[in-house]
Amino acid sequence: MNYKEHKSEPFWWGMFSQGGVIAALLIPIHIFLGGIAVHLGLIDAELMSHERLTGLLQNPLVKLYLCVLLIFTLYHAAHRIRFTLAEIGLHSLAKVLPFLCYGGALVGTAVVLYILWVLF
Amino acid sequence: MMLDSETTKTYTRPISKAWWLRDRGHFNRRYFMFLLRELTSVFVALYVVLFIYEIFLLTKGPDAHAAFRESLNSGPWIAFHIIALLFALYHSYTWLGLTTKMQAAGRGLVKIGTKTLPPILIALGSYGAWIVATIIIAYLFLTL
Repeated sequence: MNYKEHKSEPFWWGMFSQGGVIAALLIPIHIFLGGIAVHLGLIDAELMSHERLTGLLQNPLVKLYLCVLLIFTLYHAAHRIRFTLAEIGLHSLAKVLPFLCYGGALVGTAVVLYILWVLF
Repeated sequence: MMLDSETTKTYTRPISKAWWLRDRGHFNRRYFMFLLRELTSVFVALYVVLFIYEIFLLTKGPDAHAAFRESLNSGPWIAFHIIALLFALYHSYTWLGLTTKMQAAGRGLVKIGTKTLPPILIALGSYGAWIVATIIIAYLFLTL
């Protein structure tokens, strides 16, 4: 491939690996609890109710946890999607992909912070 | 593939667009598993966006959130979560397994004195951390 490394490259790689660890440790249990277990009746549906979840979000530690979980994993995914798209043949977009992917993660960061610390 | 003849004359072996399925006429399992590993990121992203959307809906009141929960309680969405879970598990397996490979390569990452710890202990450590984190989150979610 024919591109020069931008000086911000180490930052994105760092966020990628940070988010990779967080995703590896935490994402499976969240998918299982909120997306599968509750619908199969393995856990009480009340655990995912509006009242219950907004109650949890009153706790600043829960908010902080969600910030770490959601923001770092966004950068992880953005970085990997950038390279995956190039690998499967979109080499011609190699110059645009970093802007699209990291831009998406940056917007996602702002959205997460806004929802958790302004709207709540 | 575009080659700029002014800046490079390096030979690049032609690669088929579907190299991860067929490379020079053969199915290459390593290439395929590599692409699956890279694809885990798509499911992580989709799940995280869905998660953020749910938190947003919480701010819109109980009815909006209940309707969202109701729609998730359907075959296609449950299927999506099962597939996303399988990809997430594959991500965890490959990502945490990297520590073992790093330990096995060269002189290793973790040493006690001059002794390099065997990779199997590093594997137990990283997969163990995964199990502990999973139990802690499940416990907090069910009891907080």
